Amino acid sequence: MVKRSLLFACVVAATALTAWAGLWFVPFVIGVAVGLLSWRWVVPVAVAGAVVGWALPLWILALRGQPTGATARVIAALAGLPPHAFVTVVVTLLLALLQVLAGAWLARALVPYAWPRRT
Amino acid sequence: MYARERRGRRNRRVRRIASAVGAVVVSVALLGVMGFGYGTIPALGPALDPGRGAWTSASSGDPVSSRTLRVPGLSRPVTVSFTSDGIASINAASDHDMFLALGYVHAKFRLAQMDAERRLGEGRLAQLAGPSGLVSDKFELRLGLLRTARNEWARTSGQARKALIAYAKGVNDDIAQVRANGDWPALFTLTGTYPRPWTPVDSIVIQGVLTQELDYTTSPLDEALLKRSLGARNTTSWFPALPANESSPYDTGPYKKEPLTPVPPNVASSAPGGASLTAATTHASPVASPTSPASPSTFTSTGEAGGSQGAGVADGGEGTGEAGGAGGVATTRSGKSDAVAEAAGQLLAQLGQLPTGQIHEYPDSNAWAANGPAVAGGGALLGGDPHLPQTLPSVWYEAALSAPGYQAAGATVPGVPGVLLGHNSHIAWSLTDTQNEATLYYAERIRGDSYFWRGSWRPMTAVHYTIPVRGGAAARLTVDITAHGPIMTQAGQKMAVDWMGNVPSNDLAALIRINQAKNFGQFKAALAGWRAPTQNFTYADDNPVPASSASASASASSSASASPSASASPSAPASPSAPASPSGQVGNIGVYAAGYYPQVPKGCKPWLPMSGTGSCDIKGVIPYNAIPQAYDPPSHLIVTANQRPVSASYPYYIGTSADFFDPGYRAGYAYQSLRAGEPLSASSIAALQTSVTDSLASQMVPKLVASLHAATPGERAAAALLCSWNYSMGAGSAAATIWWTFWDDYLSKVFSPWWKAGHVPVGKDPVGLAVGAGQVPLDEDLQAWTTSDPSNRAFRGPSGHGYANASAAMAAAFREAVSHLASSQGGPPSSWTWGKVHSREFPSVTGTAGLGYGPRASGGDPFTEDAADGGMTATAGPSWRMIVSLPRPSSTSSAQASSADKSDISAIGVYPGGQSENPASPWYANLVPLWWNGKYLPVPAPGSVDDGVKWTLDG
Repeated sequence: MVKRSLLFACVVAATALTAWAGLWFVPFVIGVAVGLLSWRWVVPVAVAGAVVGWALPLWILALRGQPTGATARVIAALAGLPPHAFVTVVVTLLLALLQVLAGAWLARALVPYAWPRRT
Repeated sequence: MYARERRGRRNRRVRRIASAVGAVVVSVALLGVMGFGYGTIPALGPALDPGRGAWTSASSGDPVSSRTLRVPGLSRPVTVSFTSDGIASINAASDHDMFLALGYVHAKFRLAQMDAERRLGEGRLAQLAGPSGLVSDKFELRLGLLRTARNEWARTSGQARKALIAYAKGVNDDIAQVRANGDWPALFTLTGTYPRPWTPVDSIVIQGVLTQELDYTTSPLDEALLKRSLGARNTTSWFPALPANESSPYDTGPYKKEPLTPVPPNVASSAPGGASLTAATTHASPVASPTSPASPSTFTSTGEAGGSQGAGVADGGEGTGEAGGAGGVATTRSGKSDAVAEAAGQLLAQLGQLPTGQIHEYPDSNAWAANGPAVAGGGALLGGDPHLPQTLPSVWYEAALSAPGYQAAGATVPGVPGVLLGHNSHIAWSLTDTQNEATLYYAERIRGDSYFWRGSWRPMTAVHYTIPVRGGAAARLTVDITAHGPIMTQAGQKMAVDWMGNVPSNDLAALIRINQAKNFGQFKAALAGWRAPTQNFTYADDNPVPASSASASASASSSASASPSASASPSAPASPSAPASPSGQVGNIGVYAAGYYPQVPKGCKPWLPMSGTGSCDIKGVIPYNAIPQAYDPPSHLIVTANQRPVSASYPYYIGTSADFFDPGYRAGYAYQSLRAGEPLSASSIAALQTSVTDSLASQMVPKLVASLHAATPGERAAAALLCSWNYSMGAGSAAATIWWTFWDDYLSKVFSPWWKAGHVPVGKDPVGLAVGAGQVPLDEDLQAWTTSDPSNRAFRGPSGHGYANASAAMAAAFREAVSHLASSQGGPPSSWTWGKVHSREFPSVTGTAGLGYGPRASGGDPFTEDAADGGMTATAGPSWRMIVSLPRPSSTSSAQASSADKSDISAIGVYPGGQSENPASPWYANLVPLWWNGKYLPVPAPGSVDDGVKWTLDG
């Protein structure tokens, strides 16, 4: 449980901080890293961490009183999507999720025996 | 067993390989799309990065708070205060700092809009919008706003040059800040296309875009197609040079007939370098001619087209099936005429693909001024509401500007330094479009890369462009330019456009001088450099009325002249700032329709494409002193509403009824309403600005009712509604729906059979060719025939078996209207309210659904003062409403005026939009409800500092 919590916190911190730095591809890198680990639980935990990590800056924007919901609606509209705030939020978080999954898949597909499998 | 194990191992290996390949493909695709985008899909990674992507645009959606901002380039700190509604007041210690701060503030709130506008004008829209922007880019690069802007910048000097440079610096200060902190407007982040630094040329291009929207017309092309389809006789009769009705001109003469002001024939060629005629002939040395030169006698012919407006009608009307005239292309050979019509159709189809409003399509704007006894308490009053495409964000940004020697407040245009409509300490002004013909088309004789002009073959100037396209390959474009201007057609008969918007015009210098003018003399002098778009500059001041004007007023008042605006004199007093008259009257009013009115030799027909061989070149423009104008008319009223500004006896050609002149319904109603409401106050002006009374209905409905023999209960109920109607096109009026549907059907009953028989290619340009309400010449024709020529042959149709007269056609149209409404609306006629079928919408300038306002049920139609243009879901109308009171100064303020240039001038204004372009901002659409409900906000006085939010800009 401690390991899982620790991994979750690290992923949240890493994805959130790097998002502020403009390093949008870090969830993919994290996916690759956890893909090299043999524990089955690491991928779901990393996915959850990355999603929360990308949600954190949005939450902080909202906490600062900035019109996050309205901005989400604007982005959705400009992108040609239905002009609803949740659409942009879902797409944004989906990008983090997909990156981790793709990174983990790539790592496990290319380095299948890097680590012995453990549960 | 072994084989099975081997197969299993092989299968696992295959699965592993497939998994690896799949993982690589998916990862590359995902990272590729996220990192670089695909086609028009933006790079989603940086775009939606929650820390740096489009999300950061939320910061500009924050309510604005007081703070100090570093703005390099300022010599002294500048204060920018905002009212709670976002209206900005800029107070600076110098003109330079004021313009720099204005550029900074414009960019802070409208950077994406400014960038999109300059892209549009410079033919770089596709770089932002993808392949869908290519049509616009090619059109703009052909037309040449950018070339003209560069030519204009090369000639800009003095205060205007300094203002443009300071303004650009302010915009670039903001761009640098945004680049540093990454808080780009979402549009940039989502497209991955960021704005390059601002230049003075960009500001001139934006001014050019406005000019194009107000001044680039296609009426000669439409006329060519109509003439081919309907024949010369019908076309000339139904689209005459002079309207068939009274248009309530504000300048009724007497007129001066002075020699034309000469201009070089290539004044609007847009050729790079701003080549003068001499330069053009030097660079474009004649090529050996295989044919005999054009008749020089035609070119040297004296007198301009038609000689006068009235003669223009006669020329066309007396044609023999083919419009005559030495210079008219259409007259040379029918084959040539067909080729020109084909080219016209091709060009119209091309222009039809442009976004709505990119070229001029509707009459627009009201501006009224009153003074003397017409105003409660004396002084002067000015009201102005320019009708333009209504968008979010608006074309306007409201601001008050103050620096020593520069006090102006009102509507500014993001991208342009200065106040375009507003007031200063002594004068107020507003603009309406004059609508004169400023776009001439020439059918060129082309051989290879040469064109035949003035007796010899000359090489065209070729300009090559590469147009970047987001998500696609760059497009290449070559623009050929003749002495007349750029070739606009792509195949068949080559047609050049000679557009006055391409005349290098130092409009910005004029604007700055207007902002600083103190009397009509200075105002007129400032406008001397204005070329395009031709505008009715409506004026009011708080200066003493010269004794001559006061006495003229008195005599006119006593004689109760029926003339709407009999000018005291076309020429303004040389020194309107003369001492107070004995009568003690204060407050002068005036109007001056500044701009170029191109004139061609007699016999040429500028309402059709003309020969490009030189015989119909522009030979000059109407001299400055003879252009339409009025000053302190005895009626104490001036109304401009895009109506033909002069009467039939005006000695120069200014355009035909097809040139978007308003039919005069708004002007006529305004004169009537203002006169009835005297003495006027700001509330009188406000009531008129929001009036939805349709004056055409007030003339036609009584005649309709008289012609009816209602047969069905529905028709009787509909007729009863019309009988008790007050002609208000209010959203809740059922009679309004019946009237409008009837009028549309009436037009259709009379004209559509002719259109069908002639196979008018309406699809090429529905705005200019379709039969329907708002097709001004046809509205005017039907109004005039119904009133005074009810047996006009047009009613009988091309077969001769149509309607016997106007009454029969009206009755049939009424029956059809009721039948149509009964089936489309259901229920009793009293439930067919106008708001159910008519609405207004303020779309986002990005074209993005969901970021606009409406559609919302609304009153008004194209003929009402509160105009609604663009169809049953109107997207154009009053884009800014302003009322300025210039009262008799109090004794206290008179004393102040001499020392501190203060005055009692006060203004109120509102526009449908908000100061911020960010849809997440509370200032995005906060002014819409006010506008919608006919409310106004005080326009901050120049130099005032609001108690609310304040920025201190410090270099």
